[in-house]
Amino acid sequence: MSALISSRTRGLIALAGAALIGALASGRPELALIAMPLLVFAGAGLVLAREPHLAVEIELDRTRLLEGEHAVATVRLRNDGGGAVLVEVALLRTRNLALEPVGAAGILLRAGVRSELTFAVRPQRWGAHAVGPVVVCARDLLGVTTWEGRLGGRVDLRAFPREQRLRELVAPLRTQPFLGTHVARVRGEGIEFADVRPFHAGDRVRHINWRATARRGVPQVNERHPEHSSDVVLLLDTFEEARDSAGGTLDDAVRAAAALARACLARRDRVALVDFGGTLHWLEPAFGTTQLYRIIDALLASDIAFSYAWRNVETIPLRVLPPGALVLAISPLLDGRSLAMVADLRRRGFDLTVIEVSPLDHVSPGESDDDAAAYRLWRLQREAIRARLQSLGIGVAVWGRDGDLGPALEGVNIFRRSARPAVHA
Amino acid sequence: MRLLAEIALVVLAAIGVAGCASLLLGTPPTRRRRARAPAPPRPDQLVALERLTTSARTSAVHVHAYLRPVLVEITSGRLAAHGHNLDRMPELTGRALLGDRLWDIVRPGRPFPEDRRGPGVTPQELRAMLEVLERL
Amino acid sequence: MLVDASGASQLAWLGAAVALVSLAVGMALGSPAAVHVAVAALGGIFLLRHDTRLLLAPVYGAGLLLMEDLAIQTIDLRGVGVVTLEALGARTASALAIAAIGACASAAAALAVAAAPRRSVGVTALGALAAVAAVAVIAWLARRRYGASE
Repeated sequence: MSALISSRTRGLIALAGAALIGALASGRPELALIAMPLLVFAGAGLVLAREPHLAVEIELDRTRLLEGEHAVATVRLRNDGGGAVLVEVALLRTRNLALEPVGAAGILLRAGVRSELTFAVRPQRWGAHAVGPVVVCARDLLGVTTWEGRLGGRVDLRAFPREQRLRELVAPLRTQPFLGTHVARVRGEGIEFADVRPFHAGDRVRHINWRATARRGVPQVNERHPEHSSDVVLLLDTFEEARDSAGGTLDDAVRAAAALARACLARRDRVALVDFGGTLHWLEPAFGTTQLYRIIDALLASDIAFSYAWRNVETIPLRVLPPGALVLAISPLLDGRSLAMVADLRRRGFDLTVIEVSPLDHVSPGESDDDAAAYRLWRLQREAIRARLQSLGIGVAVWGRDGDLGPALEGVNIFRRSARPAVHA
Repeated sequence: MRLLAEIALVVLAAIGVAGCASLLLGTPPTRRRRARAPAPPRPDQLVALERLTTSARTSAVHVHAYLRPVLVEITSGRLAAHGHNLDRMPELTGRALLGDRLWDIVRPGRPFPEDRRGPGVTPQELRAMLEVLERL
Repeated sequence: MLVDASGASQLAWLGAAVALVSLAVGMALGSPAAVHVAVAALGGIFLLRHDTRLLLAPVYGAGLLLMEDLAIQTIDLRGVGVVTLEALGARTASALAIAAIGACASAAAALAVAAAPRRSVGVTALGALAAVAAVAVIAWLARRRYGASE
């Protein structure tokens, strides 16, 4: 820790010096008598101050939690130096991590004594966070000498996106020949009744529909729809976001992606993730809980990376976009590249739905009349963009900050049922 | 003489005191300044429209080159939802649905303005057009 | 400097106003320099007294020191969310103790001044030497403290 004479002490000494010279010049010894306590104070502070040797340990009671939960950070201090000091401790932390109490904490730490301070740490946003080290400012009891430094290590904290339970998901148009929970269009072994047809050699006797057989006079068997899984690709747009002091569209998008990944993997779908923006990251499709953890870890690392680079479908490896996959594009639709990407995917025949994370909740109109008019124009323009996507057969679910994702997805399913002929065209 | 001597002594004392005080070591202590978080940037889409609405006041060229494409995109979409096609809309229908000012800007085949410095769109006109579009 | 009673009263009020404003500005902006301007203004007011100056100067000086210390403590605690009473008490008690010692030292010096002969070149030279020596000792202590800490 570096020792500094406080600016206050230098000011006191300058004041006392000026008073002494003033006393000499004016022949008024009272000035010197007034200055004496100031000089005694400075001298005593310099003589009596002992450098503290502080040791700091930082500990968190938990290192993984959900958004909105809090952890307790304990800072343990020890003074191995010669004298008592007044210590102000400020715990450094990454952005989007709120601390209580706010500001530094001030304590008296005598020589050879330990002390503990606790802070409540609350992540305001999902992601990888860290607390520590601490910035320490120690002063002798008179405040003449200051010692400052950073002590202690850094402790990581991971905040996972808030859980949002989804009762309804987007129903995929095509399935994959793996066991799952979607009723497939093909016919095979399953529970859901599909049709009745004449008996062929090789059909099982237990599939015979006796009532239909009696009516038609020829053996008839039941056909069923099997339950298959589907491939789902979560496409996260990280080109641009709208942000205010309470959060941004990327925060909402990651929460939506996490909820969708959890729900799709729970219904035994294969889920892939593509982080499509200034930087490009992807996770190939896979099943199960391990894939969920991989996706959550990848989402925690998502961030807006500014770039002029043009990106299109060709930049995404084919194995990440399996044919017949349901692509859920989660985007604020702010960047022309994401709009072009979405339109391109649709032209290539992908089953595509856009979950629009509305930026309107994060941006307020400007103060001037022109800016207010521009804001209204922006809302209308965004509706026009939505209409253009829907004219391409792409369902758009608009999701606001405080809303549930479920009702928005329900609306998309209704659109997809009515738009199905256009999708197949 | 005595006065001069005393003045000299006082001056010497002042120099001595100042010299000793300047020997005081240390850089100024770091001041805890609360860093103000910068205001979050506004989306480029919105910033472009804010510039557009300001520049559209200035001249007919700005209206035709910048404001018109945005209004055409919005108007086409909203008319299409009601089964109308802006590109094939007769003038009478267009004026009835959109009003004279908006129709004059978005009508198909609108030529580039001859008078480049002609008037742009006033804020009142723009607000009126927005109200028409929002009602569609 | 001879000032008549009414003029002295006005100057005293002016000095007090300057000190008050300076102190308020210093505490609001976190500026020790503004606090020291207030101390200088209040010190200047003391010179307007015509009587018992030598008697009161040590106490006045100690009082100015305590006022300055309390203002500086307020500035130091800006940005501190929580502070224990023990910490506050230790700082204030230390300042009180040193102010009392300073007042005693100043009182002893006042006795010496009262007994001193009238002003002469020799007395001025002695005073100059004492002033330079006092500040030199402080500077030496500081150099020893901060030089050893590097």
